[in-house]
Amino acid sequence: MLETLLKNNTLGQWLQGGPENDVVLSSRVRLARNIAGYPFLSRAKNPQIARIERFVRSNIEALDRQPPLTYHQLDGMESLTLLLLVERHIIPRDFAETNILRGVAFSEEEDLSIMVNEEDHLRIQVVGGGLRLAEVSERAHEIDDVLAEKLPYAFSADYGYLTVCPTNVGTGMRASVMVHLPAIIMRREMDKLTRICDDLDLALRGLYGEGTHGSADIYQISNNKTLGLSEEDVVELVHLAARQIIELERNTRESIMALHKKELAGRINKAFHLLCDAVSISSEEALSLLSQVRMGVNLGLLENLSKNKIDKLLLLTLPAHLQIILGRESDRVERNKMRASYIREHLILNQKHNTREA
Amino acid sequence: MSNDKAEKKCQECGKRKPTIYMTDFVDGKPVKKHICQQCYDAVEGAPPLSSSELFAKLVDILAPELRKAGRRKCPECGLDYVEFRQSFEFGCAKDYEIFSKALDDLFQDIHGANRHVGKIPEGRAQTLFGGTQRLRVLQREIKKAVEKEDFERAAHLKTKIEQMEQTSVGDIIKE
Ligand SMILES: [Zn+2]
Ligand SMILES: [Zn+2]
Repeated sequence: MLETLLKNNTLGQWLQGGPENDVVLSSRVRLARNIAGYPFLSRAKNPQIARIERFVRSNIEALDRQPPLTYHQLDGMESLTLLLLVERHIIPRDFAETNILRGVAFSEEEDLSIMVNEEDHLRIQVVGGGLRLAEVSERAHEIDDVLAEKLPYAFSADYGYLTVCPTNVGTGMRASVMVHLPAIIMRREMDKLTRICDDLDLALRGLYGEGTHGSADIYQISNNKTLGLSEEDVVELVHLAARQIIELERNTRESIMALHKKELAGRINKAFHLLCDAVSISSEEALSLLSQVRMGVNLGLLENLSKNKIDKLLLLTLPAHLQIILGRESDRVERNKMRASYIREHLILNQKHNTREA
Repeated sequence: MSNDKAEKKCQECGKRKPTIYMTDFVDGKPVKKHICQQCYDAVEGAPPLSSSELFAKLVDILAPELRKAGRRKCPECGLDYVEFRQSFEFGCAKDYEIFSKALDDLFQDIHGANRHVGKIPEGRAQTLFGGTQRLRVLQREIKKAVEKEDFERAAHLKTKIEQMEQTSVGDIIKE
């Protein structure tokens, strides 16, 4: 099952394209739930943790789905495989790194993953390509309703769904969009972006790298609040922010095109050639250059190149993916060389292919 | 990557777990910040404290909350309010009930609200555990719908209550 993650070429939902895909890579909704009658994981003893895992797992496996979800225990899983799941956005990094009895079930299309014994007993995550939060949310709540038939959730009339962390209580729901914002970053318009998020009380963070700096210009916007607003409110809020950010990014791209088209084309061309010519390249550098090339493709500045190819490279050149493609674990130095040759192969092959077509 | 945990990082350093809500002044305006102990100390310019001093300080900071929360431990998981504020993690569902007086204020700070609005668990499994709880939410929602003159929603919610009353716990156990 895990091997097919690479073989069947699905590449995860966030690379599948979708509405407003020039800016929005993907939409995601995550629900946090705990089971009544058991302590939370923060205070649970090992035998209780094992009972929770068994109980929740058996109900996930009983879900009537075609093809059925397969459950994977994360304990004893190889670290490279764990990292692959992280890079694939199937599980968060912290979940890969903790050390209790835990697991994840996910669909073949990677649009649904259900985690057991993450921070809370149960986390349901649904992802879709492009901007489609309402649809993604509806699917997450459908699964939640089915599971609620069997699992007694910890719930209070006053505070809603009860969670380990007070920042999740209420709906237990986190809705987010992943956005690609190369023009906003290039023009140093971060303050405008921050203002949009602050006004709507949303959290903004870089997807790769530390703090709010994203090395591929990819950012995630999600709701801060989970109490006192409904699921629909949350979807509406994040969707509204996404629309404003799409407009800001597109306008900024247009204004760069109108005022500095030559410089931009030059810069993007340079990024493309750096990628083609590199002998060794780090993951961070690759992400940053691929980000510029992606914008170039979106703006029609790099014609013989498909956005899908760039999106694939954004994923496949991450450390775990690269090592699995290569079929072995390797150190950073070797990986950087491999990454360079892998990118070169794909970009140049692409060019030849397109010339032949033309 | 997927950043659920990152949502609880200190707003000052972005690294450590935040344990303290403090009010900072930016351009003369109060700004609420959720930060870690280390950053709190740095802001206050205080020298590093010993763990017992830290504890005393925390109790001091939490005094208004503690007056409301009380010194009682949760009978189910053993958590007390100071421990909760240190770890910022609840130990079980019961904690929400035990500390509710202090939590109303804390949630108001974090979320700008302290009552749940939205989904109620629908499954059969819920009735066993949460029947009265669900009833209370539904009643509150009906009141709100009526205030907003959304009578269609109010009627829909009333039907839900009727359905609930018809399903007894006994029915579910029999199945
Ligand atoms: Zn800090
Ligand atoms: Zn407790």
